[in-house]
Amino acid sequence: MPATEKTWRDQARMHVIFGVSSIVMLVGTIWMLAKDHNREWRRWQLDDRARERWTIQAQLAQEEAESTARQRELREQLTAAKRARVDASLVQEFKAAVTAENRRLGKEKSAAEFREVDQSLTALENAELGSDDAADARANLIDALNDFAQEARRRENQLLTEKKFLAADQTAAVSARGLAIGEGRSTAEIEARIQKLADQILTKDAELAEAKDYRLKLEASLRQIQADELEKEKQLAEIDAELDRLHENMELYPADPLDAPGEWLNRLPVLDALYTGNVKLDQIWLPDMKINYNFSYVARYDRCIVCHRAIDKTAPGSATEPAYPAIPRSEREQVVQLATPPQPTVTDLYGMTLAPPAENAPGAAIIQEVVAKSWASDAGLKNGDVILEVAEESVASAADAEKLLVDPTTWGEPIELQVRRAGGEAEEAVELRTPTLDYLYGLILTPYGQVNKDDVTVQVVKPQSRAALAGLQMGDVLLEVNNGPVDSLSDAEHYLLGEIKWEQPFSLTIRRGLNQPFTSHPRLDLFVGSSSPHKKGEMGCTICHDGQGSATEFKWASHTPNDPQQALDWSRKHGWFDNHHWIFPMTPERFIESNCLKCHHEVVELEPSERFPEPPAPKLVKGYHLVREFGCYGCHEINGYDGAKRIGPDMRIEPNYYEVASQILADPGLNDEEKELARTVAERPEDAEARNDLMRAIQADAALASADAKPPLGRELGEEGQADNAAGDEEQEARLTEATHALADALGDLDAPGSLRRVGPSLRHLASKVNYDWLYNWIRRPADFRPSTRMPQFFLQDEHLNPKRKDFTIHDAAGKEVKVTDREYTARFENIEIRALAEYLLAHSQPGFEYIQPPQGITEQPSAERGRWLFESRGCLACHSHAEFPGIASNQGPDLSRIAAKLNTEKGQQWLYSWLKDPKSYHTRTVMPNLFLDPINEVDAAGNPTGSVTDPAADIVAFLLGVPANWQPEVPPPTGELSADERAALNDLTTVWLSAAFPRRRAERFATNGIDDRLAATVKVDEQVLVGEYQNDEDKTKRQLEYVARRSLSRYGCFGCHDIPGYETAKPIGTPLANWGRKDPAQLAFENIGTFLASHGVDIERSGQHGTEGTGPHRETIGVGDTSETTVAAIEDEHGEEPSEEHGGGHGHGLDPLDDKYDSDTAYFLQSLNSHQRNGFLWQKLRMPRSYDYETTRTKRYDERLRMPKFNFTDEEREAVMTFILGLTSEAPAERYIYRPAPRQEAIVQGRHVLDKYNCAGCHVVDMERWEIAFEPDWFEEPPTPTEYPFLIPQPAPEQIEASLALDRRGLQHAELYGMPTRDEATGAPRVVDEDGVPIEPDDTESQPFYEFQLYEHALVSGATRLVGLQNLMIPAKRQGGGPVRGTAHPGYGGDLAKYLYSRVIAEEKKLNPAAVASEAWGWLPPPLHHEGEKVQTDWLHDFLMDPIALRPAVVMRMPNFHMSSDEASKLVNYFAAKSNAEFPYEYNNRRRGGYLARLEESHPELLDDAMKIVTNGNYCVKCHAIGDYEVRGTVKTLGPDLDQVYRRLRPDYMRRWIANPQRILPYTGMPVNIPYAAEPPNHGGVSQELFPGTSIMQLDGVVDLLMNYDEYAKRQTSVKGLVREPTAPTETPPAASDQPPNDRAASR
Amino acid sequence: MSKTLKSNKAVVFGLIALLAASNAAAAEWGSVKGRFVVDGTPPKLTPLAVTKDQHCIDSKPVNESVVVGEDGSLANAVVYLRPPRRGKVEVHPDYAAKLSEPAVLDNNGCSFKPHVTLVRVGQPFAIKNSDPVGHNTKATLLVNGAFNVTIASGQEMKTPLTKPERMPLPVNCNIHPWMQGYVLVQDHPYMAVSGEDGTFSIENIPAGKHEFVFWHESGWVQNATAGKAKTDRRGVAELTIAAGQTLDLGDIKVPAAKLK
Repeated sequence: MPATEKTWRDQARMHVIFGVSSIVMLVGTIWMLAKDHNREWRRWQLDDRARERWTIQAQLAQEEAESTARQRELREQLTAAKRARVDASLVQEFKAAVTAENRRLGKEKSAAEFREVDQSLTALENAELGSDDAADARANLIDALNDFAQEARRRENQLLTEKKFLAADQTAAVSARGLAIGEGRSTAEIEARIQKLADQILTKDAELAEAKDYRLKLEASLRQIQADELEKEKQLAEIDAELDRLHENMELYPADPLDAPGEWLNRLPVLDALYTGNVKLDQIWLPDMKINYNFSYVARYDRCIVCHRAIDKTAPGSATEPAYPAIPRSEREQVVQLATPPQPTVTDLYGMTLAPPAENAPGAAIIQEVVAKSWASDAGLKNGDVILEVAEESVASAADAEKLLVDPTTWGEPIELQVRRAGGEAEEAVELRTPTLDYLYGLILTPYGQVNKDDVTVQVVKPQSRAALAGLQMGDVLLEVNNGPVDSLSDAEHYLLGEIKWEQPFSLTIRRGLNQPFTSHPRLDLFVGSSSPHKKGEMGCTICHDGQGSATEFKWASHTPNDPQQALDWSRKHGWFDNHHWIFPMTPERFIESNCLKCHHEVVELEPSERFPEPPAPKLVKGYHLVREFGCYGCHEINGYDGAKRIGPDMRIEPNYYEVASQILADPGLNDEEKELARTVAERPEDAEARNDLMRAIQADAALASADAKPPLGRELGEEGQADNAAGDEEQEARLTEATHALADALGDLDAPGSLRRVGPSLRHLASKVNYDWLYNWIRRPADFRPSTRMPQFFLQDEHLNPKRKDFTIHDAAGKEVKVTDREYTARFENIEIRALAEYLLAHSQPGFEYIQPPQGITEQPSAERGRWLFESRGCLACHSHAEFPGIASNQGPDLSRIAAKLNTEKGQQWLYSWLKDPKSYHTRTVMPNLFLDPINEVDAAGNPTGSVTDPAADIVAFLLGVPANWQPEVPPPTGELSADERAALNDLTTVWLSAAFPRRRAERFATNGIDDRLAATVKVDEQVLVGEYQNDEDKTKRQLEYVARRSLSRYGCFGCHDIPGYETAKPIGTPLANWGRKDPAQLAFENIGTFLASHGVDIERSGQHGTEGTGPHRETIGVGDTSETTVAAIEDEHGEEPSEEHGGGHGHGLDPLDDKYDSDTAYFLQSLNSHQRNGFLWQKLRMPRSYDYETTRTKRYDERLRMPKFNFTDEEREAVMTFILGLTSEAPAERYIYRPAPRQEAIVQGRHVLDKYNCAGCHVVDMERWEIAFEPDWFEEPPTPTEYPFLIPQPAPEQIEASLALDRRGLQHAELYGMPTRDEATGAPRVVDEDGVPIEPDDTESQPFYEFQLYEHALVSGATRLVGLQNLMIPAKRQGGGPVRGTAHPGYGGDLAKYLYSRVIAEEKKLNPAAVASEAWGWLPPPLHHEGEKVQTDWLHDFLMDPIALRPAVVMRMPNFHMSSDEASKLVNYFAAKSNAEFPYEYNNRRRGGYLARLEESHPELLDDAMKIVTNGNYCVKCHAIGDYEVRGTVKTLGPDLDQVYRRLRPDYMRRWIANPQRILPYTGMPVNIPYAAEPPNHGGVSQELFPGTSIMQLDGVVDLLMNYDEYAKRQTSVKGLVREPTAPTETPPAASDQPPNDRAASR
Repeated sequence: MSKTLKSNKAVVFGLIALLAASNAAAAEWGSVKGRFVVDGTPPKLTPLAVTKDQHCIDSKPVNESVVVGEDGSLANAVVYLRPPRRGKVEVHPDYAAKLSEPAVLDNNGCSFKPHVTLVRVGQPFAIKNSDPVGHNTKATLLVNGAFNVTIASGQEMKTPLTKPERMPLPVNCNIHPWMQGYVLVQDHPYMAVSGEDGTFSIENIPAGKHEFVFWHESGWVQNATAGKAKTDRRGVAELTIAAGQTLDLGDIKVPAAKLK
């Protein structure tokens, strides 16, 4: 075969193929490089760098603007300093030092040595002050002096060199000696040499030290001479350094490529992949903060900061204020008022005066005088110059010139003046500066914005200028001036200069704030910031926000829009889409707080605190409290533990010990000891010993029962015999019922028990309380009786049921099958269920509740009028609301407005009386406290008993039941026998229920005839009721009703909230929620919800009466859903990249969220539902829980339908609950991220739970308000300085004083105040007064309103301490909405009742005493607890909380008894101590130690007796305080607590400060200073020396020591010795105790 | 609310003004007088509930919140000159001597004597207790600072008052809560309390226009005719004092309904 060009393949074709493919690859490579080069984040970073550059430029401009004047001033001062005379004595000192050194060195120098110094000094003194000659002379002087210093330095260096040589010689000698030793030569000579060198070195050292000393002395002296100029130079250098720093910063952000060619080079395509410049990917690596990548936990890489560059930038000078605040869009545009100055004159502005017209030749304006350093002098104008033209307009007269020069339209740029020089003919043009925005307002604008190129933006706001006072800030974009649009800088100048109306403010419309990602985090105090608890580098971003942290593109980061409109905007702008494949999409803004739960398992730590007064997570905290209040955990377990590991909030019901013990108590077989034990357990379930004893006792009895059942083996008998030993030797037979035996195990210990109580009242003794009629209606629809109730609605939820299609089969009265609609079918069953439940609960109510009978000796009939005041004043309103008292509403307990309609029966009345007297007698686990409603011995105005005795409990009953409640139920409850139709329905329902256990046919038969007896052993508990043939119709109905009731109770889980006899051990019925926030949406049954909403609409009002047909908007057609697809598709089309399935709209049948009729919230949730997301599911579930049954009821049995009841939530509440539930993810990160508070913080968190549980804050103010205010520096007058015990005056640190004097940019000072505004005595509302402190009348709209702020803690304001109780601070008040004009009022915590009662107790008191002082009324109300921790001793408070005693006679109510456990009391004690930074759990009380008194009594033997003289002196303590057997007369309002017990109650330091001056602690107190302090020696004030010899401080301490040791004092006053009787003869009968069997002893205790 | 007078400068200015005033022989002076009467039937007062200390019960203190004579004259009403804001008023040299006389508030018979105490800034203010029982005096002063001190039987306390107050302020005793008094502190002597006959007079006021405040413990004396002038809602009327003359305001009527 001949050789051709063609070998294996055709070469030509191959060339083509290679050619084409290489081109394709080249294109591909270029495309790839281009794609990489143009990645989205680069654009963001470049924009961000431009923004940063703008900001630094602005900061530089700001700094320059602020420092220019200062620099000029400093330079002038420096020049002056360099020409100033020198203090001759300093020069003399210098010379003396030189002379002394010379003398030391033995150098006699000629007098000429100082010639130059002396000459220049003389020259300086002779020179004119400040002249150049002076400068020269001074420079010469300094030089001359410096020569000496130089010489000293030179000599020092020389000595150092010499010493080095000597040292080198020595080293050489030492090595020579080594050699000599090695060679065996004599070393004596070398030794001597070494020694000599060593001596020489020592001498040199000494010389060197002297020389150095001398040099330092000269230098110090020189510095002193130059002190002034050095100081100025230093200050100038500081300013320069700051400017340099900013300049250097600027260089990091070059605008021009030529400035940083390297950087621009490596930003070029391809090169950017090789070099990392300033534009680069950035990430936070979190190896311990794992993310769940399905089956594997992987370290997080958060790259959010690639685009969110400024996220942690703080405003200059602040640690927490964001540099670029994220301002909500709705608040971006603001209007501010910019003040203008009064009209200036030519003299004011330019510093020149024009000659008056008389002296002027016509046609000219002569300058009469030019002030130095003015604009005129800067322009070179001189006295006598003649102005010919101003801005090319000729000037005919001085008036002309004046007019032109003050015409603001010509301002802004320098103006050109044509002048003829004084005395000459030469004409010259000069440029004269004119006022600028900077000059008039302290405002500099730039024509371009931070991000947008064309925004006219505020660059500099000079401190304390008009612009600063208007609140303008760097970065504000100027939009309008007096409604005129601003498109350019010249527009702005045109308005603000040209159209100025003197002294009339401009109204500026500005836009503030940037868009994401250019903003900083809004809460840098909490997040991201370096001083925050969640630092950027430690926490990253996605742990709180979720989303795809490793993504660097907007759409891939799984940003989540807050509503569909935003989604649409995003998809248009950023190509956003809903990425279904990322399982942790970013949490939308509305639920962002959910994620706090991952680490904050106790939740209450997220309440506002002293460190974070701005609430950290208000929505979440609200949701948490709602879940607690509504008792969601009754059905849905929220378990915070996974084994021993904490994974989230723990909200579980407390162990059922109380319920079990109560049920056991119903067993008639209990012996006395068991009864006692059961009672103890029911009352104090935390008593583990009693509980275990009870359990063992019952188990022993149960063992007997099983022994009865089947003969036990001998071995077991032996054991039982022992166990039962206590019961004596009777016949061993079980006494207790099987049900009781079954309960024994429930009394055992649990590893990690829950802690929450059931939220509903106990139904155990229900029949003692309510009647069937009321109960029926209540179960049917609780809100009918009490609209505000938290009891949810179980029945009548029929919106989703079909009212038309008759496809449900029932049996009519005649037993014939009939078809009915779903609504009819359901209504029929529900009627039976409600009735069955009501009857069952009453019939099975546990008997044995005994009503409490009124005490003996009551002389007065119950009075509703007295009851009304008692109800109001005894604390009921702290927890309950009542329509009669509209000023206060609490929802801790039920609204009592209609209670008469519920309880106005004989038993209801008796029950209410008993309940008020002692709630525990009815339900020991209620949180309703015992209010000590003991009989009252009425007294007259003078405090003398009138003889009448009233019963407050009876009075309150009379009031509550006397308020007419003409409430009628929606439908009258069915009474009497069931009708034939109802009986048929009952039979049908029984059948349905039995169908769950038996095949349909048998179920029908069993329902109709009863269950076969032979099945008795196999059927379940509920079915047992039906076992056996019915005796008659009545029996049938009764048993069927009971069966249905039992099934309904179990189905609806009533026992989740209520204690119901027989259901003690029932388990919660709902889905556990611990991981609901991560529940796979695929597991959620959305069913036909889209169709339901499309056909019913979003807002479905209940369709009227149950069972009525055809009401409500029912449309069977489904068409609306299509729009949603269209719209979502439209979103996609514009972006055109993702297939529509990605977008979640593909499920159809939903409503269109973008429809205008939906607000953004509804739209969001509809969108979420359409996308089958959890959030939407939960939203609809909480709104209409049963709507997911829409259309599915057709194939479900009645008992299989959804059963979640409907809760009475507002939209806001629902979202809060959702925020909480969505945060339950059981995804606790690594241990170190979990919130583990320090012990003090932990005590606060734990105590807060108890405070909430018992609603302590309902009565008490626990925390006062905290106001942060800003004010002009001279706003507050100097405070008065009372003569005061030195230890009462706080000593603020100098830096604190400095901080309180510091001015902000607006020129305002800041202060933080703790306390509250005074209240109006008539209305109780915060008092608004005018500048004189006179209340402003409602019709007065002119006076400027103020609050009088009453301090409860000393405050540092304008450098001076404001003492508590001395003076109220006048704070300008906002006209609307309350709070200070400048600043923030952080609300306090608690005290609603105290505030509500304030005006009322004053009114009551004024009836008796017209001179009553209103401010003291705080002392008649529950005391504020803000000082409680430092005030009381821990063990006293603990005991007081468990068993409160009456303490303050003046208080209208007394602390009720909550029967809290010791553990709870301890938590509260620790809470208060931790809040006050006091010692806990114990505190050391030195004053009560034995040695302490003994030591004092060595020098003052009568100490206690003398102190007692003060206490008992008729002028002091005993005027108001009882002590020992002494009681005080007078109205209770003048009485204080007994002094006997204060040694147990108060902490000694607090008592000392209190007695020293009570008003320094509680501003409202009426207690006076009894031992006044005075500055004068010898006694420094005090009371009479005859009572107690010593100084006032000794007297004060003496009283404190006495009160702290009152028990010791009392002991000394009593003698027991005389009571002791020695036995006269031996006793005849031996003690009997030892003979008794141990059992009897136990029984008799 | 007045702002701090910039400390020293203001004081110096004040002193200069005072010196100038006292040296100015040309200064002319006038007086004002008048009488408060109740217009209508005065209210029946709640008797005081005297609940403590036999001495008090025996002393039978009476409710002095409204003291009306048989002819309707109203006692314990206060008239005082209100200097212009941040301004001072010249003081006649005759008053200088009285400045050192202490103003005494006595706890006597378990009530405050006098019911309204007038004190000049710089005048010694003494609170006495002439009763055989202990009292405490709680003075709710706004500018000078509140205090509350026990004054033992027979004792006396002195307290410095350095600044003028804006209105008469209450004085109470917590031991005997029915006790009620008032104290007015001004930095000039031009103030008066109406006597039992309802009359008052203030002398040696610098001639010219001045604002006068009319006050009774039931509130400002509003919309009342005082000579030719009429008081406003804050009890303030502008009066012109003519040199060497006494301005007679005649009867100043206080409606009975106002007195609670």
